[in-house]
Formats: sequence, structure tokens, C-alpha cells
Amino acid sequence: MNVRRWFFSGIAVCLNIPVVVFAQDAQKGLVPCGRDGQAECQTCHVVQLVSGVNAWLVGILSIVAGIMFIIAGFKLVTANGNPSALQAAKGMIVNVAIGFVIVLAAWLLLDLLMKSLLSDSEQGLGPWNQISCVDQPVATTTPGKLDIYIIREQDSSTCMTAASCSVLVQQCQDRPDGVETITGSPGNFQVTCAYTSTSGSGGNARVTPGGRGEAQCAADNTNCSVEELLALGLTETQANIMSCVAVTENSGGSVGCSGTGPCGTFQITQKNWGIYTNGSSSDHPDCSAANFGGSISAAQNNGPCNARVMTSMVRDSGYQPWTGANTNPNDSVPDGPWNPYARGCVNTHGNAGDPTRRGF
Amino acid sequence: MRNMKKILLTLIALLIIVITILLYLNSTSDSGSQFEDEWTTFPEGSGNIPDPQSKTFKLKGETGVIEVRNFFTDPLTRTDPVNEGHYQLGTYIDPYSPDPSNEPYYIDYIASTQYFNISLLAVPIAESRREAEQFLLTHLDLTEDQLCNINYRVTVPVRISLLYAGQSLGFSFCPGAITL
Repeated sequence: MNVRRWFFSGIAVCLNIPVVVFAQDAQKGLVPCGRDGQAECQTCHVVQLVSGVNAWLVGILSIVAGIMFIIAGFKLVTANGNPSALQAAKGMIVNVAIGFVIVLAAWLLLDLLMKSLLSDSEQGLGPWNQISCVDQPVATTTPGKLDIYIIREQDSSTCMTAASCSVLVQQCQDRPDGVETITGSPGNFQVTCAYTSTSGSGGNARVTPGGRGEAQCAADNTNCSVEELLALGLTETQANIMSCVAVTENSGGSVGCSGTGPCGTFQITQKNWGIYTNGSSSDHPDCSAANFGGSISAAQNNGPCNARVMTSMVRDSGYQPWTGANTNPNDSVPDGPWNPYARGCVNTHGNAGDPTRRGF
Repeated sequence: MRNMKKILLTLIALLIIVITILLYLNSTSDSGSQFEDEWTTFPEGSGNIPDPQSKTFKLKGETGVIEVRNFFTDPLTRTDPVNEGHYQLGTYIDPYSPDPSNEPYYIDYIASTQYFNISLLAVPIAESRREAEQFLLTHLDLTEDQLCNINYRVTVPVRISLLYAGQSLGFSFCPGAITL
């Protein structure tokens, strides 16, 4: 009875282990580096190779042990009452079991030894029978004070009246060495500003050089981070574009009105707000003014409501006309004048392979 | 001979048990990150809001933890009445008003993520940024280096500046800041 238990347990264990071992190796191979789509080989991969060979040997030995169990079992059955044959078969089963336990113990010890050599304070020993190699640090140069780009740049903006142009002129003069040139006629002036750009070349991930429809809301900005917008149901492209639009519209803040009705993170107008919040059949009745003490501005300035209404508008109308970016080249409606950088966001974060640049 | 085998088997079994226990203990002790360990030292309070009695509290920074003055007890920190968990620091924009703000800047502090979103709302924006920086340096009681390490963004809406909208400007004294 005792021998039977050893026999069947031994076969079960021996035949299951190779399945686990080889399933793992089949996915990554014995040398999991250097091929297409794999990382470049490094010292750590030598340890991975040893681990892989070790696991492979354990798999092979498991199969051998399983076969030995079967042979012993066959001898046990065919002993036909011969005490010495029975004893020999039993001895074989016990010896195979002992040998197999030693193999497993060696596997464990070797794994522990290799992990101890590789482990660091961040990941510890990690999961059993898995050696994780991380990319080795690559030497980079960190820009110092001397690494400042000094470039003469030029921007052009349009304005209709002397008053609106004077704002542009003032903004130009506020820039380093800013020199403005005004051309055109009333109703269609063009202010060109030449200035010196002196920006560091990096070192601070929160500063995006270039700008103009590139910067997105920070990951921790719950008003408009890409992650938050994805959670609201936007596609990845939509979320990337709209997170960028939010920076240009209201700097990623939840509160703020522009004076002509648009308020909140995405500067949604009162008219659009009414469409999506008024009435029980609207998309977001809980974001109506009635739920904010009768103040439509308060409703618009509520971050979650503003983002939800924006999501509905993007779904229904894309970007035009409310952000100012007309993304359909077949549409005769030009880009709106109120946010020229919405188009920049579409170009930067939209699907570059999409000729319509809709990104939707 | 049989006794030898039993002893050997018992020793191997014990070895496996000991190694398994050691592996388990090692994996549990290393599972938490360094930051989580530090996070547990935050003062008692509601979520990320410190106890009103605390004079300081800890903010997660880009690298490590920064101890700041408890600005929640500062009269210039006001709860955003329509955005739960948001606080306006320094200046205040009434969300019930449809009028544009006359304030030079707007600092939206999001307590859940300990993030400062700073909008510059008046030209010249270089001056607005300087005012926002001065407020934070004084009221958070930080050095410039420490302020660079907080979790923040400085930007300007398109209605204020066509030239700088869409750019992350940074604090003027921080590495990589845009010169205004």
C-alpha cells in the first residue's frame, strides 16, 4: 500500500513538472535576448540561461524519473510473488523518489543562489524560478548651465482691432529681445514677433520644450490627465489630444471662465452645457445648473462634470467647432480662431497615419 | 541503510521547508517600496489632509518626500466649493461667477494626488509666475530647490497668452524652465 502511494504520487509529480518547466521555456527560449523584439544581451542573461538550462534539466530528469517509476511499477506487477524481485522493485521506487527529491532540492538551491547574486534592494528575490533582467543604465549627459539653447525664433498671430493687436504687441515685447512687426489692415492684422528663445534642453520632465499643443495635463492632475480621460470612455488618441487641449484651454485647472461664457477645464460654452445637461433625457442631467445652486458657472467649473460633458461632445462632434480645430480636410469650415493650439494638439497627439487627422 | 535513507529524506524535506520559509519572508519584506514606507509616517488626518494641529506635513515630491508648512491652516488656502478635495492657494476664483478672474495666478491643489496646478492669468506672465513662486516659497516654507521638487505644472491658457499657451513653463529657477 505504501509502495503504491509512492508509485502513483511519483508518476503524477514527475509528469506534471515538465509541463510547467517547458511551457515557460517555450515562451522565451533558453537564451531570451538578442532576437527580434527582444532586449540586447547582457550579463544577467547568462544567469537567465543557467536558470533556463537548470529548469530544462529538471524537466528532462522529471521525465526520466517518471519512466523509472513506470519501470519499477512494471517490475512490481510482474514480480509474481517473488520476494527478491518485489524487494528490488520497491527499492527502485524509493531510490527514484529520493533521487528526484534531491534534484528538486538542487533546483531550489540553485535558484536561490542565483537570485541572491542578482537581487537588489528594490525587487528582492522575486518570484520562484524567474530571473528578471532589467535594462542596464545607459550613460547620458545631463545638461548643465552651459547647455542652454539660444535660438532666434519667430511667431505670427492674427488680430482684428488695434486693441487686440496691442495685447499681442505687449506679449511680444515681454519676450526676450522681442521685436514685433505689424502687417495687414483693420480686420486682418498680422503681428509677427521675433524673439530669443533661451530654454534649457531638459533635465526636468515637467517642462515640455517646444509647447504649442504639445504639453498634456500631468499624470496627477485629476481634472484632465490622460488616465482620467481614458476612464471616462475616450479612446487613447482622444484622451491624449484632449489632455493637451485642456492645458491650452484652462491650464489644466478646473475653475475659470473666459468672460464670454466658456468655463472650466475644457472651456465649454453655456450653450453646449445646456445641450448636454438640461432635461432628464440629456447625457448628464446631474451636471445641470439646478444641481449647483442654480449657477451654470459653478456646474461648468466642476471638474468631473466638465470632463464628462467634454467626453460627450467629442463623441458627438469631434473637435469642431468648440475647440477651434477643424480636423476634417473635406470640411469647408476653417479652424476656429479661439484656440489655434487645439490643432497643434491634434497634430501632435493624433493618429499621424490618419489622413483626416481626426484621430477618432 | 534504510535508516540512512529516512534520515536523508527528512533532512532534505526540512531543508526545503526552511528555504521556502526564508523565500516567503524575503518576498514579503521587500514587497513595499521605499516610498510606501515613508508614506506611513504621514501625520494623522483625513486622507491626505493633515491634522489641523500639525504645523507641518509631508508631500510626496518628484524625488522623495518634502516637509512643508501645514498650508491647510493658512487663511489664504480656501476650499474649492464645487470641486471636492481641491483647494485654491493664494488667490481665489469664485466658481459661481461667470466673470473672468482678475487674479494674477490660480493655484489648484489636488489633495488626493498632492499635485499643484498653477495657471498664470495675467500679463506680463513672467510677473504672474514670480508672484505664484513667491507665494509658494513663503507659505509652504520651502527653498527654491525644494519647490522644484514638488509635484506641479505651470502653464498659461490660450486666452491669456498666445505665445506661451500649450507649454509647460516650470518655475523660473528650476532646471529646464522656460524663460519668459
